[in-house]
Amino acid sequence: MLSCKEITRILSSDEELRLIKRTELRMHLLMCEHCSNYNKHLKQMKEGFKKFFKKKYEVKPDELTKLEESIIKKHTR
Amino acid sequence: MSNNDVYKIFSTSEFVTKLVAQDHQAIEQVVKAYTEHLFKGSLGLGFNEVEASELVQNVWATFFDVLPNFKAKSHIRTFLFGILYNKAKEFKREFAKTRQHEVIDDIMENHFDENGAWKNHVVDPERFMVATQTMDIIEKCIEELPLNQKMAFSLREIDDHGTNDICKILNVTTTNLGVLLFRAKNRLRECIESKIEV
Repeated sequence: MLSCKEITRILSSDEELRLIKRTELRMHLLMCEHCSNYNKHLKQMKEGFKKFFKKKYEVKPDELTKLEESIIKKHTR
Repeated sequence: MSNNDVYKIFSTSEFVTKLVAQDHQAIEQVVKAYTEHLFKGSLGLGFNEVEASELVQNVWATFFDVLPNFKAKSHIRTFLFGILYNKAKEFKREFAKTRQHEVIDDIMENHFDENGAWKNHVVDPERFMVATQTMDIIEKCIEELPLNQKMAFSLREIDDHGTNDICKILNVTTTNLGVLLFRAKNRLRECIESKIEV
């Protein structure tokens, strides 16, 4: 049986599991409120960071074009 | 031609030969395909716009330098991100060796009793969510991560790269990547949790 400690490690390190362990993990998440909360935190983080990166790191199209042009010029004959 | 087909062509030896021969069209294609990605990646690693633009130009310069030795074993994108990571390390003078032991390992250890069960209640997702939707919190927390964890986390969670790709880019084993992701995600989670208003 996987403990909560092992479950959190598997979830956060993206460990790939064989089918049997995967089923066990899913069962554990159904029964254990703590681990299920923890798993939801990870999912919310993924969403939050995706949103953040999208919003924060918009590149102005003309600046990007300028950068691309200068790189192309530098590396072509 | 779909985007995917274009990306597949990039990895053929014919295309690489064209690049080495400084074929204008090929160079334009590959630069336009990846510069934005590299630029955003640099910003994500904590560089400002001026630094990011310099960094990206450095990456391309190195790319074209070493291209004649490029064996189409890895994808051009993976290859470029590997260069980006190495340049970023030089820039930040950071030695991204994975340490044997980190504080976060103890913090995690302490969450569990001798049977490996949670000692305390884990914060309700509804409350946690308020913090993950607060951009200031997200920004502060990601800033605190070391470069290798930041890179592992964003390649996986933001760009959805596969495990093999990320290992090649960071030059680590699968086990090592697992440790990096474990530490990155748990540090972020702890950081976010600490900023939830009571």
